[in-house]
Amino acid sequence: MAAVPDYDYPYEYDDNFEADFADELAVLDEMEDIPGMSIKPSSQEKSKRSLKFSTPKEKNEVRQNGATPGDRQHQKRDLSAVFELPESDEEDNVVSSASKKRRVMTTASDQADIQDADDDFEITPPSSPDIMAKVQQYRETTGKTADQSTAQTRDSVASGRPALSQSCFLRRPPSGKFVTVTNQDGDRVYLKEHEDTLHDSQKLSGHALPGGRPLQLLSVSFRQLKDQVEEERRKKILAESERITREINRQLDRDLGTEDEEDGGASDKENAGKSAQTGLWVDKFTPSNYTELLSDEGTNRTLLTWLKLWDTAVFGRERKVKKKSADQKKGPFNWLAKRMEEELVQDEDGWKRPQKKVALLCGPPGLGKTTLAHVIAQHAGYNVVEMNASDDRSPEVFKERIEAATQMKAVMGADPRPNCLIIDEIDGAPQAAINVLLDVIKRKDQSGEAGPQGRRRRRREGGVLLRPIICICNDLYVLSLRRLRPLSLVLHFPPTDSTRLAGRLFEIARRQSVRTDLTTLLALCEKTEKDIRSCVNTLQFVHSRGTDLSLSDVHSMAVGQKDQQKGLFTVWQQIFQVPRQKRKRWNNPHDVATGQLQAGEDVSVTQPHTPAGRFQHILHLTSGNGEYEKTCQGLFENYLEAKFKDAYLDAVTMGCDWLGFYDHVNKVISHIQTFVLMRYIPYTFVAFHLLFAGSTAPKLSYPSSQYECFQKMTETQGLRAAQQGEMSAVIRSRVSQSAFLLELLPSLLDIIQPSLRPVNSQLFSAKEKQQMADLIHTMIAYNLTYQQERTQEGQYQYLLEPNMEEAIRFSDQPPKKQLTYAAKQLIAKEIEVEKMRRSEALLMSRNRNLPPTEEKAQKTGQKSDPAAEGAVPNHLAKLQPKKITVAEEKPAVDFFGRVIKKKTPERNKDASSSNSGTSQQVSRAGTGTIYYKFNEGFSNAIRKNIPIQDLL
Amino acid sequence: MHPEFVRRCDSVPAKIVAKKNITVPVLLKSRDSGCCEREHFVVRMSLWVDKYRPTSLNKLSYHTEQAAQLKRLVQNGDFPHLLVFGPSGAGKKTRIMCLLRELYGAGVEKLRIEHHNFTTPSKKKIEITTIASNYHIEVCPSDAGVQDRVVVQELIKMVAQAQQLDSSTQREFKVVLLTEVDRLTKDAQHALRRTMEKYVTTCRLILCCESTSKVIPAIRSRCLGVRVPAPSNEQICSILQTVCKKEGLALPPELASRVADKSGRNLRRAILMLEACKVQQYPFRPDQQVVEADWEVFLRETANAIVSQQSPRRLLEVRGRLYELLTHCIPPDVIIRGLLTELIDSCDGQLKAEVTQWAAYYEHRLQLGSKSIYHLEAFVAKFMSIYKKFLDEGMAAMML
Repeated sequence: MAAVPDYDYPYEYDDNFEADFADELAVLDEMEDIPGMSIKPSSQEKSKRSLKFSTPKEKNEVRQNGATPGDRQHQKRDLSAVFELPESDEEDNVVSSASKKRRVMTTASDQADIQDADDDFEITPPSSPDIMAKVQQYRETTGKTADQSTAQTRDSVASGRPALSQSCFLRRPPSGKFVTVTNQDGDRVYLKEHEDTLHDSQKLSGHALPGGRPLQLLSVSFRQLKDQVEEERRKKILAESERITREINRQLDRDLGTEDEEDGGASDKENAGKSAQTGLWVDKFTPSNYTELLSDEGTNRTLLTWLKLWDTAVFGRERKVKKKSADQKKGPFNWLAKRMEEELVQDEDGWKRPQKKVALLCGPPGLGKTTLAHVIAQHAGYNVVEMNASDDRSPEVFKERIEAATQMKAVMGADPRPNCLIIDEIDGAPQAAINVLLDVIKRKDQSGEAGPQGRRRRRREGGVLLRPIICICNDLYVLSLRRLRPLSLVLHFPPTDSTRLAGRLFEIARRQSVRTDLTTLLALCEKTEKDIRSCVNTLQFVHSRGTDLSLSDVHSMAVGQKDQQKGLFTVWQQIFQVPRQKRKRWNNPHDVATGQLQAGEDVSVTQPHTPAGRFQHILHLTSGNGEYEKTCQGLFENYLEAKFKDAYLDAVTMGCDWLGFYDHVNKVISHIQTFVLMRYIPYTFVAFHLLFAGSTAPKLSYPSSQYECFQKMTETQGLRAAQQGEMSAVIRSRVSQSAFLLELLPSLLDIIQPSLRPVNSQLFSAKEKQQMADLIHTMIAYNLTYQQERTQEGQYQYLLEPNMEEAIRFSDQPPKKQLTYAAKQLIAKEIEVEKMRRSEALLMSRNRNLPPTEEKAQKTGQKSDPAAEGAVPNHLAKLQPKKITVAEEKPAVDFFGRVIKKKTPERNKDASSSNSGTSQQVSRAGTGTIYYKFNEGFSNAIRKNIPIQDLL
Repeated sequence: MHPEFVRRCDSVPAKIVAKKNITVPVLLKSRDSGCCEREHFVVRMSLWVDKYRPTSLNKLSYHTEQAAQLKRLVQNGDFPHLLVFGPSGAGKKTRIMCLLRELYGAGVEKLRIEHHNFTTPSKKKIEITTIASNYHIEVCPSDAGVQDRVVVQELIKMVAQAQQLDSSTQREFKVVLLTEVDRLTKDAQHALRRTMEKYVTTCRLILCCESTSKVIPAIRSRCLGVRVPAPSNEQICSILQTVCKKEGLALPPELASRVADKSGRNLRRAILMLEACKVQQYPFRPDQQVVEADWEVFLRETANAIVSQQSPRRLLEVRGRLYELLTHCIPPDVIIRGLLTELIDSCDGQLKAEVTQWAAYYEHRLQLGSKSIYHLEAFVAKFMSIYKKFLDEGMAAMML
């Protein structure tokens, strides 16, 4: 057992990676049916075919029937292609390249054929170490062969026989039986003993046993197979040669000048000519395996590693962790690797699932996110189930589909592979649907250790998520994704490397015989902002017009430009920054010099550094963004930070005028709904750009102060409303709202803070009592009081309620002197007492049923002579002894309505005999309201109702 | 008596009382008799500004001629719609209440608070608080914001459609007092003009506002305008003296005139300031400090900051201060006016006219727009620009 796959360091670009994944790459390549070229005819075709290969039964059938001889051929050829990549620029003729390939194929054929045929079935799901070892071994030997003895191989080409002996050498002891051989040089190699495949085929079972040991599924003897393969190959060679002859003839018939065709002619199965009509090149040239992916290597690897983490849960295979050597950890990507390492761990629950259950790919359109997801899922041995915006995504349907994809598995179909759900364009899904997804993710397994039985039961109930889900979105920060983000492995898609992209485009162009050059393609890449899809579409468009693509075409074409929304920060950045000269790339100097600007040409694109270009650019940018309000706020917040020369603030004044204009227009729009005026708004931003743009943009901050201001204002208004709401009508009608805050409150807060002697209120002089009473009245009239609150330090303090201090005081002013704690406490208590007294009095007066006229007279009297009235505050007025209205004694009646004779008249006699006021009261209170209550073990206290007025 | 016992005793009735305290006012709102009882206890105004407010036209202490005219106006028991305007603290409301009292007697002073609910055509609920007596209703429609049109229409209809039951003893009409009319939207004002003609038999409108410039001409022409000018400093001084005499305090005339000066001819503020002075220190001293409102101090400091330095950085700081003023609900036009007064003081004579003109310009734009901070900043920037240019020119001239 040699190298063990190591998935832990996706960002360490060690050489091992290729070695580690080589087997998988090989398998992938094997699925491929176009040799040499890293492009395949159509994705549908591909997936179908790859399905076939990975299905053991299907494969056997193929082999038995020999129905598609071409397929095997291609498989082998591809395997070889991995190790001996054909030079694309090679200008070999058709025959020679074909023969060369055949040679390599034959080199590979036997070993690959024999061993891979055995192991193939367990490769399809990710690799096992055995095959790994073999492939690595094989790689080494072939490499050696290529180096050492080209002559030898040439011989073998001539003979048409495979170089069997070399390909069977193994450097390290293989598993199972083997024979050791030492050659003259002292190199020791191992030859594996091949058992009868019949023996293995007895052990028919699923993908793998828990031990991870591969199983053979062949039901046909190996010899038979070999014969079949031999026959197949013969047929294939015949077919191939026939085809090549046809091809050459056809080519000769065509224009001899187009040499480009030859390569494509060799590699394509005569689809080069007709495909232009059949479909989009984007589909046609979609990468079909891992090595062909154009996207960033790091991203690819991370996603693959994440997907591999599911192996334990999905395939029941234990993940093998390679021993980390210390020196591996060094390198520039260490921190990144570390971060990823933290994220890419398996959960410690019963299922050993990855901690992040969902991968979320995000990035601008056209970078190949969907392609990546598909390719990787295929690669890791999953059956891809895709959902996208074209599907119905109501929560019910969404749930149904998620569960169908994650809980179930095709039983009847030919494809028993587990599903991998890819949810494309998830940023457009409704919140409810995403909540469903979240529920599925979060679903916890209560009986994690229940074992397989528990698992089965759980699954029936819609149990834990056991299949990987890959979500794809353009905008990660959509509101609906907010809760999904922390639960998922977020992978940002960096833009594609433009040289790689241009290289691929060049390849496509060559194969489709579009005449162009790399510079042009690079320019195209830049123009489309590295959008692969857009590039390829442009190429196809140019091809369909039957012209060649030149640099000037790229510049003049409106094709490939996206009307993409820019983020707010980008907008602000560009407004505050003068575009650099570098951006001139689109600008054709010749055109500018001669003034031959085409009529329909967009100035903003061709010459962004000229004032006109800048004008158009900003106009385009801001109107494309559309969020005028936010844009404007951002400008307002940041423009004073910008670096501009303005000695007399003329620019600032002008900018402010523009803001005023913006505000005016905006108000008119919102007031009378004249949205026609909307088109004049972006000119404000243009003006700002021309006024304040500098070579470097200032440090931008998100505009929040307007909102904060609004919030605080609402708060202040709320306080005011709270105070005014409970004020009495007379006071309230006197002051308008604005005057209340502007004029009344500042003085009022001073007035209610008189200097009080720090003594008990009982010891106040008459004047002080008067002062206190006034204070209390004022505070009640204006609905103010003090309330005890606990500060953060744990101290108690009295605060105004409602706290108008806050509404009135400004930040930089020294805090005004406050009343002492004791004084405030006293006031608060007095206010409570006074309030109680008033309501009591009110209650009494209502009960007394005084005629309202009397009240009125009393009140008008107060009004006319307030000074006199103020002399005797309410609480100082003596309480008048109340008249006792002796209730007419109703004769007590018994149940039948008969009058009951009184037996105890003594009490009445007592009451009438006493004549002092106090005793009267006591007796009044005593009539029937005294009762005794026996409380166990507490007291035998006498209770009695006392009106509050007696206590105040 | 054991203290524990006492507390236990009073707890029971206290609870009842507390409960009543909550429920009673609610009940009273719909019942006139209850309302007046409540007022009897609650209205104990000890703030001088409330205590010494005149309640009849005869007792007004300034603009007595106007008071006499008003009295003659209502003598025959009828009057047209009125538009009372004048600066804050001049006594508009006092005059209106005196007028109503003249018309209906003391009954108008029995006020109650009512809450009205309206539903807009767009099914939005609005709650408006009104202050009403049996004879009049006072409402500030601009509380409803942009929906004030509904309030104006519905409320006036509601009041006007209810005829007085006994028109022999009472007036035939009720009075609807609309305050802060200048804050009404144009929609509401247009709605008002038809309504005020239609229901003229059963209700009279008294509109109260600070400035007529925001009242549409159609309404102005339908009303009798009554301008209540601010009292002069001397009038304020004499009133302050009267108040002090009634309170039994001695007020030095210097302090009185300083208070009047600081108040900006606003009687309410003058009296409040005087009382604040009294709380601060008594007996009065002529050189006593008159406490100003915090926002005024803040505004002055802002103006000083503008004058001391003119640069984008300083402008940024000023913006922060302007924001703070706005958050304290200081109206932007007050800010711009306050800034102008402060800035002009530190300006050269040549500049004064120009600065004032620009202040007016930006104040106008402020009214046109809705984001006041832009216009405030624009004014500050403009001033900085002008001022700096002027200073540098002056420097250059000195050098030559």
